Amino acid sequence: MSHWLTATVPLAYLLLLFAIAYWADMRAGQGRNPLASPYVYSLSLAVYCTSWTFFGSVGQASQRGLQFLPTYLGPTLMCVLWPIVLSKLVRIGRSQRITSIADFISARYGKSHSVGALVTVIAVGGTMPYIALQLRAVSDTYQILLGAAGDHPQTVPLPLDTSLWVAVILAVFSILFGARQIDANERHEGMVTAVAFDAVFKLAAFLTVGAAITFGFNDGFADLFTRAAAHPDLARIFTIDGAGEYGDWITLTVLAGLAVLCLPRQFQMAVVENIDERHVLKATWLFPVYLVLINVFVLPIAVAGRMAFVGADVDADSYLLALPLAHGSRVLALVAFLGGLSAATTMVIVETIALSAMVSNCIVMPILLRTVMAAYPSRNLAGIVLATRRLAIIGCIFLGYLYTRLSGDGFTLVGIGLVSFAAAAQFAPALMGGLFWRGGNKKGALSGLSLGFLVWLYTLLLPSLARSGALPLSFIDAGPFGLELLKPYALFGLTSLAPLQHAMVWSILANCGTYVVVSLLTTQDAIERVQAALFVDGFSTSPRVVAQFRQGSAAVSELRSLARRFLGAARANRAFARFIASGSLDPASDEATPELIGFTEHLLAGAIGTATARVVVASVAKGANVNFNEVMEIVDENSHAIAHGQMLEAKSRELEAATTELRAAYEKLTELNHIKDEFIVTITHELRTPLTSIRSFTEILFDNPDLDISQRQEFLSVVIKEGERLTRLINQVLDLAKLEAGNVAWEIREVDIAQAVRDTAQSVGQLFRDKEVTLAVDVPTEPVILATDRDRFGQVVLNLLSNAVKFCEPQTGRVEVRLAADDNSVTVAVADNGRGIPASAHDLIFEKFQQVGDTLTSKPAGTGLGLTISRNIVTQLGGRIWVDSEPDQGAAFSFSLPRWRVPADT
Amino acid sequence: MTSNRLFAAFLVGVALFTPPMIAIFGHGGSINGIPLLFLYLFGAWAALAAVLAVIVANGTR
Repeated sequence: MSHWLTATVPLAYLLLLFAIAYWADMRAGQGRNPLASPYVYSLSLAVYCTSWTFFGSVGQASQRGLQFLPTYLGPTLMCVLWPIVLSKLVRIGRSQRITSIADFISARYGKSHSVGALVTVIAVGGTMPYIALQLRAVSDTYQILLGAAGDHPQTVPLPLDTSLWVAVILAVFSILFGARQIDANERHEGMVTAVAFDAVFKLAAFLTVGAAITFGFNDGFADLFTRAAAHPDLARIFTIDGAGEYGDWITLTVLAGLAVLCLPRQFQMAVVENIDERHVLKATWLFPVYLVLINVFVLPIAVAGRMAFVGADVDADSYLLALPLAHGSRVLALVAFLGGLSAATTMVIVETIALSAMVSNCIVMPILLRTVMAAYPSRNLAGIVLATRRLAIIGCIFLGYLYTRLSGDGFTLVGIGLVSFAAAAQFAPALMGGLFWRGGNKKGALSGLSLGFLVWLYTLLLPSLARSGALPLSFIDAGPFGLELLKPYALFGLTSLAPLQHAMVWSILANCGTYVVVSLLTTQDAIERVQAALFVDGFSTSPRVVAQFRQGSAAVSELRSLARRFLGAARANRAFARFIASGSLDPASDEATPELIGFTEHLLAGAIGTATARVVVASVAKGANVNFNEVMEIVDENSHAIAHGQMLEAKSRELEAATTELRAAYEKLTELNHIKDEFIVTITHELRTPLTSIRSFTEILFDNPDLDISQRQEFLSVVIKEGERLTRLINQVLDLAKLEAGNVAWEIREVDIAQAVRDTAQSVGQLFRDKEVTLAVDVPTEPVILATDRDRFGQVVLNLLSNAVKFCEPQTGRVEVRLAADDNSVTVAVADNGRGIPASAHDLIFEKFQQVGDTLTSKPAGTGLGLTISRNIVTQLGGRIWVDSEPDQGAAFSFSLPRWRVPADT
Repeated sequence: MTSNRLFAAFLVGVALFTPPMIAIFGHGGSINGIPLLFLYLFGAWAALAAVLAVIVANGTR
């Protein structure tokens, strides 16, 4: 393959990326946004995998084995929490029109310019090594592809330094991608689509080259690993052992987990470019899957490289390229290079676009506001905003280049990248604290961030420069000015940790500690409290809601010209037209509503950041210096209203439940009342029958004093019998009333119920003999002991027996009483061979005054209360009573009582 | 509900990918020539991703 091809193919690939971005921008302009797919969003997050993944991981794996993995396991663990954390970030980002992580943190701490500027400085400083890594990876691999040995960057004269040309090309593309025009919403559909394409391309490239190395040049995983295990110094890369290794493992996992949320480009992709909160859910599992796939071949390639280049001077970071070249496959090498180039390019583009938004919104704009805008109030600023962004992109890339020149190549790619990770991790306390802790305030965030950054600078960045010779080496060995206690790799005498862990421990300790302590010791001002409430409680704030925090008045024309100055006339007019079309503004009036003022601020926030937009709008809206006490009242009212609302809801649910209960109780009462009425009617009827017959017979006796003695005797016996019946009836009614009211004194004792049944059967013997009905008693001879009330038990048996005899035919009738007992219960059954009871009446007969048969035609055979009383007794003794019967087949009444349990109602 | 499941999955993930478990598989040894640690890490990783997919799918249904 000619050098000519080697030079043009990469350039052609970058142009292809740009073409994709351009196409996507056009489609988005036509309303067919490619970002509407959750897969594009998930893939765009793969901007996390840079040339570090492509070349650095292999280099690291060849030295330290699986220690390269925490860089991807950390993000996977963070992914698990994404639906909770990232969704909240996205929601707040949308409602506050957040344009970058600096914007987010500054907005959280009272839209503070100083916080935003500090975050920007940390982000730019922290990203410098990361961009340097990309430049170096691309230029090193390009040298290898050309067949030239990589020269030390410091020794190459500037115009011949490949890194410089890489930097220039990347700067041009970054501007093309992200700063062609000023964007009102800080979304870059084209860029995101290109990144998603890059994600697919680099994965395919890595898998292709990895598979070729593993299965083409070698005989698969098992072959590679088995041969490597035979090498004594290679075998140990398959293990992780010892406290030092564990420490590195944990540090790297935590660091990478924080980085995937806090790196400016990850924040840009995951939060700012998100157009639909639900996409987060898809990414939650797709992103880990992507990470698994892109890492599968890393270890095999590292092992293959170690074995192929024993003794040769080949940089382990370039195995992915060197292995195909060594096997004579320039095409595969080119594919590997393109994958790495693609990964590096997208990283630099996204990172610098994110950084340029921060620099422009959080540093340059506030300065411009005080100078240019104050001096020339009518000047159009859209051009200045755009120029600022372009310059910021160029500046960031060349800072990275500067770091490449200064740091030399004494470091591995991963070593450089981790320095950046550690800087990004400094955002975590202010970001997470701000999201979940209302009390975190501006002073706390400012002091925590700056202290953490300083510690990072001192313990990681400066030593890295010292090691490459840009600073005297004595800075590391002896400490600054010979102060042992301040040695950057052993601060305050902490010598037992590796440099990265050492820096993490001190910087995060300083950062978190200061953030929390200062936040607790100082107070928030009003706008901080408003913002804290909005962020932590996750209220959704549309411009209309924000509008109630605003009181100033402004002219529509003024607001419109303000928007034109920052967004350009066309965009500003479009946005205003949309607002007017939504019907919330009277086009005839020039007096702006609070909603319009809020809308303008919201609109500008997309272009110049939340903090600056607030100041700019306030400069136009007269008297817009919001009375913060009133704002606080509104916020408090809102939270109170929400709390009250929730309370009301709970109360109304309780009320509803109570109403349902009441209604049920009422229905039951009505029914009981009805039953009572019926009972009284029935009982009067039942009482009247014997009374009538007594009255008529006594009247006959009274009117006919000359009746003969035998007839008188007969009538009197009827009167006596009816009197007895009346007494019995009244006794039973009283008994039932007592049972139902529950004021019966139960005498629970252990009794032999077998004997009780026998006694009862004997006591009714005369009844049976009178009617010539056979009574068979089938009761165990040995005692059956049950704790119960003997008299009431006997009463039930008596009731059943006297019922049975009533319904039996004389002579042929036969009644059998049985007693069965097991460990849990005793069952008494009284069976007869009478006329039986139809199934429909089985439940009915236990009700009061319900007798089988037509009570109008046949004389009632009992009071109709016996079974009711029996059921009451049995139930209160904890048992149940039932009947088995079919018409003309006799009836068997049974009741069972539980054993060894004293009934509750005693 | 989904939040609780995710939080549980996070704790499981942390347990899977930190030293006590890493140490068990990190001593060396291999199955069919593939190092045990390599198998364990990639297996557990893929399994976690699958569990996440299930939790998220159930949560949105």
